[in-house]
Amino acid sequence: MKRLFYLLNRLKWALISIIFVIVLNFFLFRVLPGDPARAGVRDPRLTAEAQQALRVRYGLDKPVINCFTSLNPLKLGNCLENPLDTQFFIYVGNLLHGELGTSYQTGRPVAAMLGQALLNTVLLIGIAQIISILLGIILGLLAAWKSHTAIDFGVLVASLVAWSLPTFWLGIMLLFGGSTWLNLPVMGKMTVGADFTSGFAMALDVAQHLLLPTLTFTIVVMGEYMLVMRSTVLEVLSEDYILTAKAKGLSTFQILKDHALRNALLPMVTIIALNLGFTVAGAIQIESVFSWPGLGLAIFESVGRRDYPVLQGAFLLIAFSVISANLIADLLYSYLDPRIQAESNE
Amino acid sequence: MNNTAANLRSLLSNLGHNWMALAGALMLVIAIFTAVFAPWVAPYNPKARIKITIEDVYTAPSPAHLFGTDDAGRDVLANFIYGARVSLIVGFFASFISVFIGGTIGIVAGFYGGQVENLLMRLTDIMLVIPDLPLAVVLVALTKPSLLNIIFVIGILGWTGTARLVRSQTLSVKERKFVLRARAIGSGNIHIIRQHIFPLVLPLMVANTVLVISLAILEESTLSFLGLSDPTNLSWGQMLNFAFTRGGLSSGAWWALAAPGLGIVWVVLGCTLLGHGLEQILNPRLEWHHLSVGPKMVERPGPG
Amino acid sequence: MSTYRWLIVYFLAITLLTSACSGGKKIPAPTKPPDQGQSNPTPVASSPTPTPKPTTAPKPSILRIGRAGSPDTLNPGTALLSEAWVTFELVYSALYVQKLDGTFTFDLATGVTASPDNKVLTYKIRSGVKFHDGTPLTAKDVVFSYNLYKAHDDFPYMNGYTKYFDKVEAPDDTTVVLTLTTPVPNIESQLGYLFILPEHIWSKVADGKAATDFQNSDMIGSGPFKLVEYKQNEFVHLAKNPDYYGTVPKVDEVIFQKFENKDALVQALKTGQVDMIAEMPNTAVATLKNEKNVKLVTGAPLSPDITDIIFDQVSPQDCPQGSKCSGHPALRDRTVRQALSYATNKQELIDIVLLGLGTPGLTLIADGMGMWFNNTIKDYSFDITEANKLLDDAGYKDVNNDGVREMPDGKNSLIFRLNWPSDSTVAPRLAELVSKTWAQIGVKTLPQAVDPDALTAQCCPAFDYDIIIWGWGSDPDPSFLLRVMLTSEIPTGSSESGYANPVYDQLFDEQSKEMDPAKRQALVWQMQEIVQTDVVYLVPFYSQAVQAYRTDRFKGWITDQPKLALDHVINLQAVEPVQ
Repeated sequence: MKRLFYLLNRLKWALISIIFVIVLNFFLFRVLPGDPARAGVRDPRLTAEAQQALRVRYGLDKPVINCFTSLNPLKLGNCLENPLDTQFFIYVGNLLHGELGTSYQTGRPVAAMLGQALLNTVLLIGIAQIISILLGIILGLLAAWKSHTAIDFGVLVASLVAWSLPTFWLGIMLLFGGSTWLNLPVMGKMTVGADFTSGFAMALDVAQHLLLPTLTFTIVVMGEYMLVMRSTVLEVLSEDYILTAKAKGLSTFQILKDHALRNALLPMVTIIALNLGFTVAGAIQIESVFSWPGLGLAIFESVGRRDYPVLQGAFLLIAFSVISANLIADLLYSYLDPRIQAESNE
Repeated sequence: MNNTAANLRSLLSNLGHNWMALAGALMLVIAIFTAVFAPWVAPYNPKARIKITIEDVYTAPSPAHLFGTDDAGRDVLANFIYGARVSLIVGFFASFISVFIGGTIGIVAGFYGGQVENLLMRLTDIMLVIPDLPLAVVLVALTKPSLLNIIFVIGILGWTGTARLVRSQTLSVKERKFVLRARAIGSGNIHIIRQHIFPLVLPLMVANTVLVISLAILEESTLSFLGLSDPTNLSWGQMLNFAFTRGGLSSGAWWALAAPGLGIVWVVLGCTLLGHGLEQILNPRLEWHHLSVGPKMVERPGPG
Repeated sequence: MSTYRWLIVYFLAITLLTSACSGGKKIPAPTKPPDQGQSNPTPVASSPTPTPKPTTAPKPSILRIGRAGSPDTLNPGTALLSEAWVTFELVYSALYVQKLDGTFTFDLATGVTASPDNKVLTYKIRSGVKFHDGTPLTAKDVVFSYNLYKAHDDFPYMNGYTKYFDKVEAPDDTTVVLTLTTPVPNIESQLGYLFILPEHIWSKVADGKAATDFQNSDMIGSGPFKLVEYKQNEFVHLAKNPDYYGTVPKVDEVIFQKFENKDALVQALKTGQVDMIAEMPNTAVATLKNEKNVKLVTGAPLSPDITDIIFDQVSPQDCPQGSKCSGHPALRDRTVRQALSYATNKQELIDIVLLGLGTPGLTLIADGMGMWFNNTIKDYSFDITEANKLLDDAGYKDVNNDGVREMPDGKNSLIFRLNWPSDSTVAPRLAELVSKTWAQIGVKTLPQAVDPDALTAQCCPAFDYDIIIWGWGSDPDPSFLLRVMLTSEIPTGSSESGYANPVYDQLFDEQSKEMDPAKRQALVWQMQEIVQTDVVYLVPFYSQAVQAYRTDRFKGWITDQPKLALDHVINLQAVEPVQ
């Protein structure tokens, strides 16, 4: 029963977070100065009439929200005058239908554009995360077990250096070296226009394109996992039950596997879920260096073009996934660690 | 205030025993020294008005230009040294803002508890959930790209980690005997916070600050690289932006890309080492455990 | 432990699933996998012996072109980006097509007769033309297309081109009668962009929002290439149209690939991942020159982009209602602007910013505009002494000896805000260099990069700036660019400078109606003289187009014409694979 209350509490906060993000999302982009109807294109053929027509097409001629006719929150306009025919409520209404709007630049539905982009990002980030988690766990475990030896020192320094590398810089260096000396592809997800004789051939091509971006991401992210794992395992290994297990005659390997690993993995779950928010930052950098057609790239390009609907959609997607990931992590954690139930505020 | 000073002093004296903290501190000192004494250390003045010709663009390292020249024909080493100033300034000031906000929120939440804590922690959670970089990108695009704005944006986005840390530390300190005693004799809340809570929280905050600095520098370099920073103030990230967008890679001008990148790595690594070292001093994790190779343990040593 | 195993399995499942589903459309024709490795220099033997008969079906030749942008949409009505227009020129036909010397020639049209007042134009078009889906193209499609463009005022460019159309009719299948409200000189340049859309497809989406929402993902046209596949922001894949009425391309397929940054473009060319690049950073010129199997070409661009320095010179009486008009008063004085011109070292700017690949600029009409460019204008040479003298004589002295001059009344130092859009790669360096030379005549600048949209809000019609470094795209006809210096455009926001000269306005009016090319040219040249003397804009340079191709893949690139455009339809029709 207690667990149910805990779950409901977490769900409540997740919903509040989402609502907050939706409102923030909307107003943030509207407050940007300038005008998407003129964005990006400096062409003398774009007449004033055409720009106004563009504004109408984007729905920008409607007031943002009737309560606040200017950005001054103290000056209230007429709230009751046709509240629903404002950009904000139209936006929320569409959202409830699952419609993320249409891109200003391409006229295509945002959901379709971002759907494919999301999958591409998940592919890249997913694989990189798995590899870095595995490496982080193994190396962290190793370093903690062999603490104060050369191995520990080496792993520690390697992780700290890896963590200090700026993602985009590492990407550029790897891109340069990889394309010059290893003939790896310079951009994109797949070789364009090639016909693949089998699904395997296509997967191989994608893998070739994935190699450098994944390597970049893994190097940068792995360091943190290693450090966390190492410190957690160190704590676990100094607990009394380890001594008991040793006294019982279990081999070192068995102790590491059944006791240390299992208990140390608990905090890792939280870290991984928390990290999802930060991996988006890495994704933006990597995708722009390697021209990987994912969510990060969509964000980066839409900012310059003031493509509000795409930006809003992407923002929402990311926030939504991070909130969900945190929720799942909390749930998992609650199942795994019965101590958590006791705190009702957490 | 006595407590605070004493705690800091003991922290610093322990510094010498920890290799990570030492190494990190050394790296940072070198970086700060270079930045402060830039006019004496740098071979040229990057803002000097000299005649530049086409041949000067992207020249390879030579005795005249140890790190070669960049896309405007300027000496990369000189830009690098002066760039340290900008990167460090942004890093320091932005992190001060973050730690100030985070520390305040953490102490208030931890100390007062109840609804206040709940609200503040929920706010922290929401801030954590919003993706940092896209938000920073948008905020900087919102305002004009100047150094002040970058500092401000990075500062107000980076406080969540500090808030959580400070709050949990406050919670543990709050229950200590001397705090309860202080309450019993009727000390005001502010007084308790200032005299008892703050000194015990401060050392951890210092360690955290150093880590936040490294994050701020990384963030600034990313924002500059994405073209959102102030191009008239050449930070390391801005140097990378110029090199990347002005064809450095394809002209093989690896020096224009390597130097600023290595600078960032140096400072961030220094901060990370120092920060982790400080954390180790404050929470001495047991570096010996039951499965250690080396001298076997039978009993646990006392609490650190 | 099992929970974590499930987690890992779950993750792996997702990644496998996504890698399987996220593939592109498969192309039915058998293709050879593209050359990924280092290209072996195949000896280009011009042997007369024919190639031996292949035992299997001949592998199609694919030309890969790399560029840093991609079309924003496939809908000709709503597209804004130049990459979209390059694609339209390949897939669609129009009455005229632009040649590589800048002039227009008949494409779909075979002849034209004009009424004496030049308001009624009767075009004869080819017969037997088919769209890519086999449907015949007739004059009715032309009429439909023109009416569609005219009806939609939210078609940004197309609507502008039909501004003077009164009506258009098709008396028979091969005749189009176009009636104008007023004679339009140089109408070929506009008709060259009015692409002919298939009525049988577009009539279903002709009304209102349907037309702007229409994705046109099949892009059925009648041009030398047809669409195979389009991935937004990634690539455009075209194949030749074997039933084309004109020159059928010799290359089988063309793929335009988008690269996020120009360095990657150059890398791709070097490693053979693309066969031609239509743009590149000038700094790569030195390395590509030494690369074997790569030929670098420079020349005047087909549609020149202008970089310009704008001076806020709007006078208080011309300031539109509600605009800030905060420009420094010194900039309203022509002498000051002229002094700044004398203090600008254009050759240094070309050397550093363009690495020598440009020519000194004059007015907004670039040297690539052919006959419209006034090549007799004398430019302001780089002369610091002359600049200083001008300012001294006009009374701008440095009263307080701080190195910066003040206005004649002794107040208001000559300190100018210098802004540029933050997405410009040349502007920061440009700003730095001009500030340096302007300092030698006692002028100080406050450089600041501004977000492009914020800059627009600042510039026009708010006129809340001093000096801006910006740029324009261009059109083959000079009218569009000349328009931005009209007094009437000050309140609309099209005028960035706030320049108001009734003589100029009058000349503009005349040239927009003058049908005789020679007379019109004289008027346009005169207008350029005026704005050069008045220094409405300071144009530092005209940049050259720099493109490169691999010599071991395709040959036949046209590089001896006045304009350079390797991605132009004429080039893509002409190139063939190196055997």
